[in-house]
Amino acid sequence: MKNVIVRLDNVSKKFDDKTIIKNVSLDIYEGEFITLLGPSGCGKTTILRMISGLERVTSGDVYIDGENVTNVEPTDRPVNTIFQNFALFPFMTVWDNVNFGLKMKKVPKEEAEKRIKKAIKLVKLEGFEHRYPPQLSGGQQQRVAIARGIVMNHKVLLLDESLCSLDLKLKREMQIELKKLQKQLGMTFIYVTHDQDEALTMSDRIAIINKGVIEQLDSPMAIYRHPKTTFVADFIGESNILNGTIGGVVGENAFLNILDNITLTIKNNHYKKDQILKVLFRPETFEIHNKEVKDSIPGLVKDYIYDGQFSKLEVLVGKKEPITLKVTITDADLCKKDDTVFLTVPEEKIVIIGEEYEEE
Amino acid sequence: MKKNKLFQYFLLFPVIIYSFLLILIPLIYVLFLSFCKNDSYGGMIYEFTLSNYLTIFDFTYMMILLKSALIALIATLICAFISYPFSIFLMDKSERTRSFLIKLVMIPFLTNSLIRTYGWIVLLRKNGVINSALIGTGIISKPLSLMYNNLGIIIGMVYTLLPFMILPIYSAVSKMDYSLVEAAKDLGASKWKVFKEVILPSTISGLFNGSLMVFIPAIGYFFISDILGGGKVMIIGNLIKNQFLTARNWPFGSAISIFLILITFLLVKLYKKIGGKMDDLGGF
Repeated sequence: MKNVIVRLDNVSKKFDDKTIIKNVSLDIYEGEFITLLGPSGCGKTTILRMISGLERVTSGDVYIDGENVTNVEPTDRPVNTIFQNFALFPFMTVWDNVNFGLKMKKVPKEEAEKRIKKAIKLVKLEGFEHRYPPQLSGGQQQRVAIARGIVMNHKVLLLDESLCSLDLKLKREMQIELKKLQKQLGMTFIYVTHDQDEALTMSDRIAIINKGVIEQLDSPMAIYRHPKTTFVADFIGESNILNGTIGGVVGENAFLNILDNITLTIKNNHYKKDQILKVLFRPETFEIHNKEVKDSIPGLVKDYIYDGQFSKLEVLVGKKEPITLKVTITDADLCKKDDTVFLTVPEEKIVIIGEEYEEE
Repeated sequence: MKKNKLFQYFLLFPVIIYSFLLILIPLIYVLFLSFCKNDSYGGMIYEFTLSNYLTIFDFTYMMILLKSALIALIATLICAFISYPFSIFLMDKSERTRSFLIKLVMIPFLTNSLIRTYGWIVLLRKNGVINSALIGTGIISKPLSLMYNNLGIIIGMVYTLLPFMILPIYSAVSKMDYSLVEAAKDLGASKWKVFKEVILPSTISGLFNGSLMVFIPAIGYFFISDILGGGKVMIIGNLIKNQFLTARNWPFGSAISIFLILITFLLVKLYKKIGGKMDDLGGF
């Protein structure tokens, strides 16, 4: 059993009668890299600030390392935050910035010196100890902020959109470094971002947050392959979401009606006749044919973008209520614009949104 | 291009005339007078002398100068002590609360400061509002002497000059990145440490700026010491006023004025040296 390091128990937050966070419960385990992911304004930063104590909860409880810290000031909570704009003290040297927390906690000078040196070494900032933050580049400032956080030796580090302000290349580098650092230190990182690529590459688990509630908390792979809600399916990756009805059930198989009168055969999962489902097709799961085959969806290629490795197609399907599907194929020669094509999806890659699944 | 330049001068013309006639010429005249002799009937004898400046270094006048500086310094410190908590209190408040409270600070200053100073007499005198209230509630038995002394002058100066301290400090504090305060708290800093280690160093220019704006006028505000000091307390502002109006020794009055201007310049120089920016004072 994994050790819970941070627990939110039925936490809500209101600002001027507007509910920002609605009854969120969340267990975060020791040593994991968890990402709170969601569109801007979904409340992910508020959740982070409620853990650090910079925001008080309106109701519910916050536990850190088994202790109820709901009414504890941020000063006394054993967590540290890396702020979005880094919030380095501009009038202090790098060394003094990293030393700040140790000084506040009255750590003996010798020990402090050792810890600062170690932290600065970890973030590869040796030689910059006596510079001032405004003299450093964005990436270096980021490192100072991380050093200032990890030098405290707390078990949890909170990162608030910390890579947002960096340019793309640096961002990629820092993503890898951050992940390495987290493994190396065995610390719990709680990371807030709106960038799904970042979340997918770095996290052990992702919490998808929308309008103040957690829509899904899962591993990156599970979130991509088995979204629990249409919001998650839509927010992560490219998606085509269609309405489907179960036309009938025969033993192991169920018949799924989509679009006008297309029937796909899927594995029966306790379906009932006439049950309405949301069906997700990822663009890369489509196979494309020039002739009609079994369980295929006919469509017209409306748009064709050649993108080197992939070709991105927009295929118009459905007669009564036409829908444009996003399709990604690797073989560029299969079709061209204005062709009539037939799309199939392997049965195991059809995702029913919200359906229970087995761990892979 | 040339036409444009001419037009600029045209627009500046009123300011140039104003500065020239009402500031520069009188100042030169004062400088000139300060080197003249005085006759016993209050007239001037146009002969060069340094005696006016030497007189300033008399013990009596030096004490007045010292006392003025001390009163101004105390007033400045009190202003700073009031302004910081107020500005920090406003820091994380909503825009509406901020602008409302700042307006409250500013509104009294739409009234003439002389009238407002007279208003303080009603509050501070022996049978005034404050003494009556304190005696009425039984907190004290004998009225406190709140005016016609140094205390009265300091109260008056703090009251009159407070906005000149609040505004620069408030502006510096509100320009400050609030996440620095949060970061400090996050790293375990107590409220006092947050102030001492983060807010104060970040807003030091506002403090210098405000101190200058309070200290310099406080040295010279003769009407406050006239009204609330009751003419019993002499500060350098009264001294100058008296030389011109009562003692009719214009050359000596001029010399003290020039001396005061020199001190002001020295303070501004010092301010610049410590790292203050002239922009914060409105440029120089």
